[in-house]
Amino acid sequence: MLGYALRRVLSAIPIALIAVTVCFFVLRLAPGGPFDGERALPPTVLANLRAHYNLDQPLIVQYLIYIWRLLQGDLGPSMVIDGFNVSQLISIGFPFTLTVAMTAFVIATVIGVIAGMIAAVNQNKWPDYVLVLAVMLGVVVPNFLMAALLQLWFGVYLGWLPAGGWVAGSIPHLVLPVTVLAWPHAARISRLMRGSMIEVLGTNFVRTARSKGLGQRLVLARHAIKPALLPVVSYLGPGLSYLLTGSLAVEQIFGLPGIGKYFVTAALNRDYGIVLGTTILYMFIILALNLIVDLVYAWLDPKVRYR
Amino acid sequence: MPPRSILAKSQISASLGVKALDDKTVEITLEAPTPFFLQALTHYTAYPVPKHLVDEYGDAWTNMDHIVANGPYKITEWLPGSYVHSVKNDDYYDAANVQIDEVYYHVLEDQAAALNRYRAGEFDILTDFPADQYQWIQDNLPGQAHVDPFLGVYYYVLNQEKPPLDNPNVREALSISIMRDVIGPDILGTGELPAYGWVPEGTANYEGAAYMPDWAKMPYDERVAKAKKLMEAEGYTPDNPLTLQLRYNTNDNHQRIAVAIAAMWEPIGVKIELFNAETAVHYDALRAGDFQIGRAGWLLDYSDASNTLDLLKTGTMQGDTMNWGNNYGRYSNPEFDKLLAAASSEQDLTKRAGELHEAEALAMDQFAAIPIYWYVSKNIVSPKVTGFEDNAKDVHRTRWLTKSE
Repeated sequence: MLGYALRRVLSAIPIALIAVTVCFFVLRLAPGGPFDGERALPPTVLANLRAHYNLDQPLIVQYLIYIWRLLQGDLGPSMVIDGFNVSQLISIGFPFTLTVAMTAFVIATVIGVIAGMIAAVNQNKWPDYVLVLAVMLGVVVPNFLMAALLQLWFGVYLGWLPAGGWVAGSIPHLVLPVTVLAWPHAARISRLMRGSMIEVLGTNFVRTARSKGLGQRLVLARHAIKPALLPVVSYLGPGLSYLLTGSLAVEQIFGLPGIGKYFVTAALNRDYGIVLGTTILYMFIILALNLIVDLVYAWLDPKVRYR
Repeated sequence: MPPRSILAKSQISASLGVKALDDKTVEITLEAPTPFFLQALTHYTAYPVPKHLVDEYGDAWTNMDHIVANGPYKITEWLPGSYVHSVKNDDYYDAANVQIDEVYYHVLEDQAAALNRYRAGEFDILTDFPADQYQWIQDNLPGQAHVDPFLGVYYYVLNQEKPPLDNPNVREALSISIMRDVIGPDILGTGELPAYGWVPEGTANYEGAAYMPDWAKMPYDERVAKAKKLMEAEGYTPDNPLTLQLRYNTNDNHQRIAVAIAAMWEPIGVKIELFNAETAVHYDALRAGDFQIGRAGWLLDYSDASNTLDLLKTGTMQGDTMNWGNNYGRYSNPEFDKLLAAASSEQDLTKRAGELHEAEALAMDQFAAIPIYWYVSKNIVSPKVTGFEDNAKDVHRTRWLTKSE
């Protein structure tokens, strides 16, 4: 398994290089540049700026400079946010994004798995219906609407929770953004869990376990949970990367200083360094999560072998 | 002040005419009398820079660890795209009269979310709000919305380098057939005033009434009839329309205005294709002259009529390319340029205003661009805050504000 993990890490290197290369050149194909604002810059100023960021060099030279710096761990400067380089911006924003996303991930996974099990065991009874309703709400209502509604109810009308903002270490400030992010994630997990649990409960080995006299709780705990978790685990990797990358609306509505907005506004501003830097970060997260998911599979399912 | 070419470092101080007389006095010698010079110095490009820090830290002098302040507040924390935190500067000369101890400036993309957080008591002042909420705000938060004339013009530029918009008759037909009165109250909802001229009312050093063309006083039906006739003379009718592309940067309000104006142009025989792109792409295209009609806006840097009129000045040759600056439509009229040049060195303010008025009338009568409305500033101010005085520049220094708990 260690050999397998190592091979996977090594095979990620060409993937990463291809992704960076494609991203670098596609970005330059887009019309407009980082210094095209509402007001024209004097040509001499523009020329100086372009020279400062090497934008006056041939594209291939710029690319080689970028890769050379990247190999030394330097993501380069931001061209729009003056005085900050990309690594600094990521190190400011990413901890916020990570905190919110991981909290939502843990809560949503636990709630989703438990809710899915309860629904499966009580198939077509009231707990199942309540769950289906909650799931539907989470999946159907888009997160920007959910965020705005919760902000209005709990922040403005009831005044129970802060309507937005971030105070380090403050749990109340986390509640609404985490709820908005966690809800659809929990909904999808509980649906997966419910479906696969119902399937597992109908299999021969569960019937055998029951026939030898094991109680409901033991059957679930010893025989049903592990196989039922398989589809859930394969969703967790993409699910977490979705939480990490899909928090833009939540960050904007609740005014959280995460990196989601750098990613989007940088793309609109043609801030090449930030777009590439955040893309590389997301890429490594996704590659790492996929690897972890594959390794967890082996532990859950003895039939999976790594070669 | 005409832009100067870049000079060697040793030449700069002598030729710029800027001299430090002592630690606290600077002497600036102008090439010509410049009535708006003091106004221009309020622009952020004229703020002083601490030389000792730039020498010591280079680009990093703006880091929070290095930066210094000469104003009433000093910045202590900056999360780009999120907030800036500043606290009262005890070294400020008038610190004794600065009432508010610290200020957070939050950056929010979502105006509705900002309004929610204001209602939850998290903000004291909003510098913008969703226009479609204006009525609701007036009903439910009476007296808290401040909507006031602002020195800025929202306009369409017309690419005059290429047919058919090099033809002043077509430009005239387009301009006079826009029903401007409905845009502020009905389309935007915040009552922006219709613009028929190029210099906002209330601009400094600009005695006399705002420019009002004769056609603006005609009933709208007659204007449309006249526009139709102009277009017919060029061979365009609603059955055989002139197709033009209208570009705007992606934004709900720009879109609504573009759709409305396209509908106003349909009866005179103009068919509009709408094209929107994000800001960087939009302005890149305008600068490259790659458009027919383009949306633009100008907020005055300082209160002087020359600041908007310069937008219609002929470009200057730089090397072998023409630099058009912000004159996207590339309107060019030697008479207009001459008037602006004369005004830039005219000492008699009344005479200068006369020359600028003449230039404005000249450009507007040739339909150099299509002004649509004058901007308004939109603020929401908590009743806890006092000292917030509405003004045409929309500048509200915290120094003059107080806040009660």
